[in-house]
Amino acid sequence: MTWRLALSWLLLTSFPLFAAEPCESCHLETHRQFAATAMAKAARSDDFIQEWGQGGRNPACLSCHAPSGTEGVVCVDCHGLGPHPYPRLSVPETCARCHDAPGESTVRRHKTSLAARRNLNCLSCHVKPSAGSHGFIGATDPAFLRTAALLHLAVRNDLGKQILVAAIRPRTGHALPGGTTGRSVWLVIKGMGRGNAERWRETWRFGWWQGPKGEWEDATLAPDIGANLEVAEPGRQGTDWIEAELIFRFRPGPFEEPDPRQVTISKAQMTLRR
Amino acid sequence: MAEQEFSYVSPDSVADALVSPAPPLILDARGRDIYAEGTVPGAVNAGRDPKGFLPSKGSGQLVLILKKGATSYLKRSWSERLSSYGYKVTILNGGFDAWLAAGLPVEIPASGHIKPGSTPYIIPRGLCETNTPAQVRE
Ligand code: HEC
Ligand code: HEC
Ligand code: HEC
Ligand code: HEC
Ligand code: HEC
Repeated sequence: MTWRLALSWLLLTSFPLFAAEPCESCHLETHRQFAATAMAKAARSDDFIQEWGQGGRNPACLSCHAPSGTEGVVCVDCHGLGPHPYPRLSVPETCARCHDAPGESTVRRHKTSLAARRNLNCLSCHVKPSAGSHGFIGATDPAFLRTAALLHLAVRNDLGKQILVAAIRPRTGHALPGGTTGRSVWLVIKGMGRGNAERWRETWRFGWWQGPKGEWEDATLAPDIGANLEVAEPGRQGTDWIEAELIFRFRPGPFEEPDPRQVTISKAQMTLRR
Repeated sequence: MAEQEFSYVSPDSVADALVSPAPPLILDARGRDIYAEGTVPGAVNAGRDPKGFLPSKGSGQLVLILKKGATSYLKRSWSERLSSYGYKVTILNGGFDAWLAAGLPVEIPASGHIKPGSTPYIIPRGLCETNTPAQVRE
């Protein structure tokens, strides 16, 4: 600490009055980093304003999207009201306030993941060292999103029958899609034949579903486990090769409704031996 | 081919590799019934017949889970088949027992994933419908 910092430190701790000064007047760089994140704008995005308006501007929404009544999440929502010295934050406990709720199971699903067991935490993946300690990135960064899962195809022989397996391995350290009920991941597998013609197609959706009584069903991809989807007799109807695509969408669905922001996480292709 | 020509990998290093940027593909070649009792999270049931197994072309590391007492002949058949598709083949040292002994998590493979149009469930439309505890079914 330089003498200047040391001095302001002394002032801060001895005159709590100073804590009323906006954080960015001293923590300019931290502020600049955080201001660029989706969290800092969580109550300002077009999607939020629209859905919040339609839902009658429910104040409960702001308990996560803008607990301090601003445009989004701010310093004190994680660090507490202060004053200095602020206690060190523990992760993921700090995040649980907003990322662990019914329908928002990110923290809960993280705790049982292999990533957590191998001492990775939210910050290991969501803070790019080059972006500084408060440059949180997430699904809104397409390059980051493409790291979310791997897709493999294989065919095995099961009692003389051919079975196609599409293996999805999430690399999220929590369920995929992480976050709330509003995201979805789709797997599309196509059997292809001569003339580039589609012979058959199977589609799966991972995310939250709603039951007949409005209850939620969590059908996201579990961390590490993901899913192994099977298709019997992939060579049927003159299929010569298989194409599979894993797609992330910023809306829950249905697939027929386009999502301009969607991102292909992973693609796989294989030739069948006839 | 002598035993030294296979490359073995410990459960702990597999667990580390699984959380690395390039996780390996895990193949369980112990057969359907044993696979169904529990396996390494995310492992693919490869069946028991190396010749009937057809992977897509790969490049990364691949970890094989073999039955206790697997013969060199079986190891070689799997290794040669998978290497010819581009994988760097390794064998889980000590098999699934060693994975268990290391206290690592186990997956009981589930079948049946919800498909659109095939269940009483419907796709929600809202982008964020959290905090409605009464509606959540655990
Ligand atoms: C989403 C939660 C979150 C928000 C919002 C947040 N921080 Fe942090 N901050 C953390 C975490 C996590 C750490 C690292 C753990 C620790 O040191 O307590 C941290 C660490 C710090 C540190 C210690 C030095 C460093 O950079 O690691 C400072 C200073 C700091 N934050 C200031 C701020 C300021 C100023 C703001 C508002 C612009 C802010 N934080 C917003 C979570 C947050
Ligand atoms: C008058 C300048 C000033 C203001 C205003 C200020 N800080 Fe700090 N803050 C400091 C200094 C100096 C340090 C210690 C050196 C460092 O870590 O950068 C510090 C350290 C911190 C730390 C690290 C833990 C600690 O207490 O040492 C956190 C977290 C933090 N500040 C958060 C905040 C938040 C949140 C606000 C707004 C409510 C805020 N600060 C306002 C000057 C200030
Ligand atoms: C006060 C509530 C709150 C806290 C505390 C909080 N978050 Fe968030 N977080 C949100 C909200 C709201 C969003 C959604 C922003 C959006 O997409 O509009 C979000 C989004 C995110 C995203 C997605 C960003 C993107 O660009 O896609 C990540 C990653 C994230 N949070 C990580 C964390 C971590 C890590 C912590 C703990 C250190 C944390 N959050 C603490 C409310 C919070
Ligand atoms: C091993 C890396 C990893 C770890 C650890 C991890 N995440 Fe993620 N997270 C991802 C990836 C990749 C995505 C993008 C795919 C998705 O949305 O699920 C993501 C997505 C998210 C999203 C969804 C953003 C959106 O806009 O849809 C939130 C929120 C989030 N993470 C929060 C957290 C929190 C909180 C923790 C700690 C409890 C955490 N993550 C731990 C990799 C990780
Ligand atoms: C428990 C915390 C929490 C509550 C309460 C909450 N949200 Fe969210 N919301 C989040 C998080 C976290 C995200 C980030 C996206 C994700 O994780 O899937 C998000 C994302 C969103 C998005 C998508 C933003 C985008 O840019 O794609 C909208 C819209 C939204 N919320 C609206 C609402 C509305 C309306 C309410 C009240 C009915 C609400 N939220 C209540 C945590 C919350």
